Amino acid sequence: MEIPPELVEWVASEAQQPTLVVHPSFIPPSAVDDLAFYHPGFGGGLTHALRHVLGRDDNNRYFARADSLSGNWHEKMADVMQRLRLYPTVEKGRAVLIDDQIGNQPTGEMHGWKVVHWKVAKGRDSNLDVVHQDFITWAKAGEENVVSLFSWRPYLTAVIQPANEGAILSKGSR
Amino acid sequence: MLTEQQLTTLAQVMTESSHVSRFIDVGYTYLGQFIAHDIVPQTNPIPGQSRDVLPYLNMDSVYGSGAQTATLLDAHGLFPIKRQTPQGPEDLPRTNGVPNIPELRNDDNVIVSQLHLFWQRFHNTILRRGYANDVGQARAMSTLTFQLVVVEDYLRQVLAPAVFDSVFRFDRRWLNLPSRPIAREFAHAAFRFGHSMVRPFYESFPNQPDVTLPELFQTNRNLDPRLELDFRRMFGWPVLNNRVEDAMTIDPFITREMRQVPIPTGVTINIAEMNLRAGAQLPPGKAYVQQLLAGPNGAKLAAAFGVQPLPDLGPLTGRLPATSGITIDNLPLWPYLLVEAVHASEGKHLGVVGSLICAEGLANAIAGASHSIYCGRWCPVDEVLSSLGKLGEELQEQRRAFANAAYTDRTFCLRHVIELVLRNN
Repeated sequence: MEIPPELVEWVASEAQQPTLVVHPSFIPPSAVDDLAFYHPGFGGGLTHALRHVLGRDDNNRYFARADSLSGNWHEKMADVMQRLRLYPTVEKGRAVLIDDQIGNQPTGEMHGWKVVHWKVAKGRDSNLDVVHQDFITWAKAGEENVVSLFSWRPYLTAVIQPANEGAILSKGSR
Repeated sequence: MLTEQQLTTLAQVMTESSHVSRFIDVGYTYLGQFIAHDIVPQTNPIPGQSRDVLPYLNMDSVYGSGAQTATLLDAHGLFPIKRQTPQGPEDLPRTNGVPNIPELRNDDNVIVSQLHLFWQRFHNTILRRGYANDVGQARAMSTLTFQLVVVEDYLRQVLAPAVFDSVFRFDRRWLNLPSRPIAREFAHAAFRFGHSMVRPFYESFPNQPDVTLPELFQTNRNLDPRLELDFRRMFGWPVLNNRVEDAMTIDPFITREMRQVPIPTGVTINIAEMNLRAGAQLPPGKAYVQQLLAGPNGAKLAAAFGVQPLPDLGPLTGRLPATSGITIDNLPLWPYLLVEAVHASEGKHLGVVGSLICAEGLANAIAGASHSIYCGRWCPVDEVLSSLGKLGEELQEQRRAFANAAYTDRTFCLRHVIELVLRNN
């Protein structure tokens, strides 16, 4: 199946191996003790691996979904990942992927926190290399929502487009 | 051999962080501990308290040996399982908190103590349902069922698949480990891999959402009602994403809370340090593998499993200070085998050498048992169950009711036994 242009930089082709979670990862102080155990990028030791592939819903809309998670993903976090339907959209002129329905899925709470929103965008690591970053919004009764993030290496050489140039995607092979 | 400073440094690094694995349910960590307590003597025996441990999987830890068995049972041959209060949980029989069980290590924490209780319940179920006519028969049935769980469920998960098949399907022995005394590389290194599967906290307790590891250590105390387990939440069906809490990966990283584990003498010990000291007389991991390869089966091992010394420290690389002097050449056998597990499967199961040691150690323990699923060959599950009469029929019924056609490796698992016991309760 040919990957639609709006998803070509976000999903792996059949030949591509899973990519790795890299620095930086972040959990706000108010939730870090609760969530670090579950969150990719924390705990040291083994690196988390993941891959995004193409999915298509009942309305023939394409989305990115996660597969090929390495064995060290926490089962609850893996369950969230495997339920994600990340639709391509443009936010403030930049291409992003969003799942705004994940909060309605029967995913497990993690020390009381539940994933309610998921966004994937391009960012940079501390070496200024482009990384893809997952911004996860968490909700917990009696607490303000928090947003955590983890980063992963793109499947293709990625560039960040200026906001006013829209979502033109580089296709250079990595 | 490591210096004292190197040993301390290594133990510190190994207990800085750890990761979950999505492949092994949390209960199997403690089933491994329960198995070890049946056949492996205490690392630091307590005079007058530690029993003489035989290296045979006879369930002596539950039944004791010889005349001791009768002292553990009531007039009906049942374990006197009681509740301390009418609304309290069932608990091991205790006097002033001290359990009346042969193996006091099975009261180290509330999970292994409740596993001990589970096998007592199983024994009582066998007699109450009339599956067995007397205590001796009930013990034989319990032991054979337990051995089936050990091989077909536990080892099927934690061993490298090729090693499992070779030892338990084709009845091959590669290392020719001694049966008695139990092999040191098994007792002091390989079969300590389960310490890396221990979690920092648990979510399986129905009456308390989060239980931290230190809270589990309740030696010589009546069971706290908040810590009563639901075994269905510890041992799931053999499918991925079964919504049962997971154990940690088999890797050289041990949860930080294992730095201070209380023991009955009143002090705390660092489990990583204890294991490294226990294995101090063994050759380092790389030398051990080189000895295997130079031995009579070396060429066959290399050909069959691709056995070769590990090239590097794997996930420990970069974590050990460069000045520590710890390298793959002097890494002790226990952490070496944990690094091997990461090389082999990212910690999903043991690597080949670790698997060979554990497989042969436990194969010896089962083959030497008074009642054994090994009778010159490994008896298939159906054959063992058919020898158990009505109990076997009931377990077969559980297998039919809870079979998973999509997953054929583990066709008999502890969950089948759990369902049988809970239904009868």
